[in-house]
Amino acid sequence: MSERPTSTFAAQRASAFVLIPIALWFLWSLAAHAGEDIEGARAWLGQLHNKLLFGLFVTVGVFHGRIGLHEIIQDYFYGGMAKTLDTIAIVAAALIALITWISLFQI
Amino acid sequence: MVDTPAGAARPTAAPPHSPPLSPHLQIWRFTPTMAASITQRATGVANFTGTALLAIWAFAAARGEAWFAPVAGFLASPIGQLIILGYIWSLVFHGLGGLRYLYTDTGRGLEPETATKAAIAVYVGSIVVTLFIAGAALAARAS
Repeated sequence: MSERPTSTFAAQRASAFVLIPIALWFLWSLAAHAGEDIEGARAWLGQLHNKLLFGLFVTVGVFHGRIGLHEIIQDYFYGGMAKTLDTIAIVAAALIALITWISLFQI
Repeated sequence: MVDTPAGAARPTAAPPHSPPLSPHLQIWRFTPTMAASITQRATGVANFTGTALLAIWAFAAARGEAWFAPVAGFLASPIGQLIILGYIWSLVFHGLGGLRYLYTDTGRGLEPETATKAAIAVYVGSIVVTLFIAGAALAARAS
């Protein structure tokens, strides 16, 4: 699973627990706001609680996703290739979270 | 290893001290639990990609109409709608499948019959919930 199996297992489960209610909020929001124009999107993201929940969904999501991607990489790749793919996953996760938070607070 | 001549090339270039890899997907006998396990991973990767879409969407909303219009236009196209529907299903499946794992983590529900039923329930449940959400979205837009 990982070089630190117990803490990785715990982090994966803990982030899963956190994501369940936020994902419910996200799916409910998606159903309520799908297809809105930029004014609608900005009005929605302009509300602080939506901003925070959206940012948390993305951030905890990529944190949780990084653990899963690492697990998959470890199952199918060796040494150098595994390290490269892990690095790509970490950079992608960080970029996704960073772009999201910067964008949210520009709205 | 018995009939491998000394010095022959190893079938795979496994570095020393590396953990074993998983067999290829085709090697497993098909069972609902095995399918649910693979689907859990596939939807996990899809959800990660979907999160990247959310970042792009938020970025476009922050930049202005010139950025937002093409993103919204793509999402409103048939392909975009299919991606959104797939993302909803992927999130729902991974969430329901995750609940299944959180339950089996406690050491319960591991009997083959129960595990098979739970795996099938995750598939059926994910489709039902996805249709419900898609229906709610269409109803919200119509009103």
